[in-house]
Amino acid sequence: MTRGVAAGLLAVLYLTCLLFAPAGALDHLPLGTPLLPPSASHPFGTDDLGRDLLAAVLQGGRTSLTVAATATSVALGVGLIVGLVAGLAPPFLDEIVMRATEIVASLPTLLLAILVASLFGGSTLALALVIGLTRWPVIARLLRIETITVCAQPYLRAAVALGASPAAIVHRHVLPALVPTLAASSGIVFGGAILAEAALAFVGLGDPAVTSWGQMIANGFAMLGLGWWLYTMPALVVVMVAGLVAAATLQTRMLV
Amino acid sequence: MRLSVTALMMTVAVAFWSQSAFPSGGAAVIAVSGDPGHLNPAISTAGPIHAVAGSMFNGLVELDESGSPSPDLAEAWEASGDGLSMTFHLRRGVLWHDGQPFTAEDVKVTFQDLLFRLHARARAGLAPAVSTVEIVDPHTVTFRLKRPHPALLRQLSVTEAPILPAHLFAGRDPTNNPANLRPIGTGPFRFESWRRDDQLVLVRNQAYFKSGLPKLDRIVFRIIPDAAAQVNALVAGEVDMVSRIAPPDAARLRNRGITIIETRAAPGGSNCVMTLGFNLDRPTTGNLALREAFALGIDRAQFLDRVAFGAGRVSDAPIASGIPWAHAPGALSIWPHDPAQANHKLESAGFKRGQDGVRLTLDIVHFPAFARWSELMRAQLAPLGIALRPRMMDPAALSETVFARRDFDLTLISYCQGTDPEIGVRRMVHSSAIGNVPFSNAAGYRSHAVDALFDRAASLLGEAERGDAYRAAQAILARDLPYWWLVETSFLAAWRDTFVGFAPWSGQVAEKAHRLR
Repeated sequence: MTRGVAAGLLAVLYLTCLLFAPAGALDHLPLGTPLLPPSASHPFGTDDLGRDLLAAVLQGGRTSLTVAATATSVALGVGLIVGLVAGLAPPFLDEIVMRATEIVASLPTLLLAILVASLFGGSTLALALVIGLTRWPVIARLLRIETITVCAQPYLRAAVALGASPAAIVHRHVLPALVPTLAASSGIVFGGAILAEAALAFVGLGDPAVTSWGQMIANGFAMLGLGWWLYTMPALVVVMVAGLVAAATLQTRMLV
Repeated sequence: MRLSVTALMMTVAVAFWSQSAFPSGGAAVIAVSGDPGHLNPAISTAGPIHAVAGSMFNGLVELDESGSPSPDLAEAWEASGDGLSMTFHLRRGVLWHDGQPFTAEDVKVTFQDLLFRLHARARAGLAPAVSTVEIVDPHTVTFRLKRPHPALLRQLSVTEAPILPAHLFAGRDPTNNPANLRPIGTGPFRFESWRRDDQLVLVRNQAYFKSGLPKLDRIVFRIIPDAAAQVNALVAGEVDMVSRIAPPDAARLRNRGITIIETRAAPGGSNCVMTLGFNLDRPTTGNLALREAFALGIDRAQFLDRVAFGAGRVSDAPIASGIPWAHAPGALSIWPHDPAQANHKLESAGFKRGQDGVRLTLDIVHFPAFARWSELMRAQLAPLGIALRPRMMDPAALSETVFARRDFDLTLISYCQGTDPEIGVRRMVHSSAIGNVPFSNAAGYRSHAVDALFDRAASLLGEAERGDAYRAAQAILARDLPYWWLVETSFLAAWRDTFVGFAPWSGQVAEKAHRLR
């Protein structure tokens, strides 16, 4: 599968979630016969309350993908700034920034998220921020190395010799060189964020007012004997999305 | 070689020795849903505390599955002719686990210093009726009552009123007593060890006052917070008994060597009714038309089928059908499921729909365990234009939010009504039960008529006259709707077929249990 196809499928899936599952729509799904196995009319079956599981999965995707997208944006933003600063700054500042980065990298996302969720209640935004604010060090490290590499290139030294301003150099030469790394590392964060959200929701730390994939899997798990589709369907979707993300962003060389 | 022979001989010797030292035997592993925190059942009504501590203590009486009393620490009792006192003759020769004798002093101190002050149900349902607990002689106590109190005996079981040792508790701060962590009781098992959030071990009380009991050598309470994990542990044989399983789990336990029984009672409560409480102090939920719309708009049969999986019945009166002499059959049938009329009520009461079709948003406070109940309620009420915002919290936070700060619109509580309305219904509806006592009158409901009828029912002795007063009160409650009674839920307990004799309705869950093979 080419990267473009995978990215396209992901975008289509996200848009479908947003379009067909507007906020709060889960509560408005009709209550039909509960616990129907997958069939033509209900491709994913129905849940214990009698709702179409496919519609619920789309609703859950809205939450899970939004958390992942927000977390990835935050991580990319912070990671880019820190990586650039460390890569361009004089060695002593680079040293300070990178040691600080290592401290953040040592914070376990899940534990921190559990702490935040139990202190402030399970809010989707808080969850996204915690994931984003603990996952940027990976990106920062990659971008720092990339920046240092670019700065050592002869054409860049030529640009400096020709009198280009630092801002112009960053804009014209450094940033474009970082794009492939940025894209690849965003995949790591995005996939990780989906899994982290699922894990947190699974243990009951998501926002109780909105459903998410992790919550659906947890709920299906609690009904283990009543229908395999209750947990299998949302779990398959999580695995599929994580796979698509990897296909869309990972380059041939292994990162990290 | 010599070493291994010696080891073998020692093993054989130990096996023989242990067989002779413990004649009847075996261990049972019981799942508990949370670390109890402490093990003083007289100062808390929390489930995990009673699940474990119940086996280490006794009440004055024991209650069977239907709530009928029989002797426990008291071997006989008699009421005075005017119903204003009840005298208990205590069993002689009972020893605390530390060897001290059990006397009337223990009973007096437990009631006055612990139960009446800190046990939510005893404080709300028993303390107001009792004027003093008097020591007649070391083996006789008399309860002097302010008014005849027919529910008294049913409030003296190990769950409702466990007796603690006066020699450890008299004159000390009950909440910081070291005996809360290393309890000394009179019960069939005594405390051995406790690893926080992992397991508690109790061992057989060799000096138990009931001859031949208990039959098990030890019980291990394994702390497994997740309900699905508890059931998995049961299927895998890591746990022998789960005192409460969720209805959907019963389905997957069939034909797996597991006994499942359905009861109305469990330690900590019986006749439990999943109840929606309205905060009457708020202008929205204080509005009767809104509450009527809830009563008309909620499809309770769906809750029974889809959330309780049929384990129980739809409430048809404020007092549960498990208290048949007080139950008012059909009292709630004035509110059939009728969403159209619910819509009409909301419209004419001025709750207009906004652009998004939502009339109003209310928050609903409940334990995480009740998530499916609130989710189905959200789905049922959304078409009526009522949006619910769930706020899930643990028991401590819920008590604080609902009963101390009163910061809620709706709350979903499983109110266990007990075996007499005095035990578990008075606290929900009597104006004297409004205030910062967990799981009391959550609605903040005040009605002179209902207060008077409950007071009257409490002062009568015959069940027939008491029932009349309770039925009259239920007619008023059904119209005022401080609560909406959803489903009378049953408890499902499960244990491996290798055991018999567990009593999941009692705090003494394993007193008579034993292993078959």
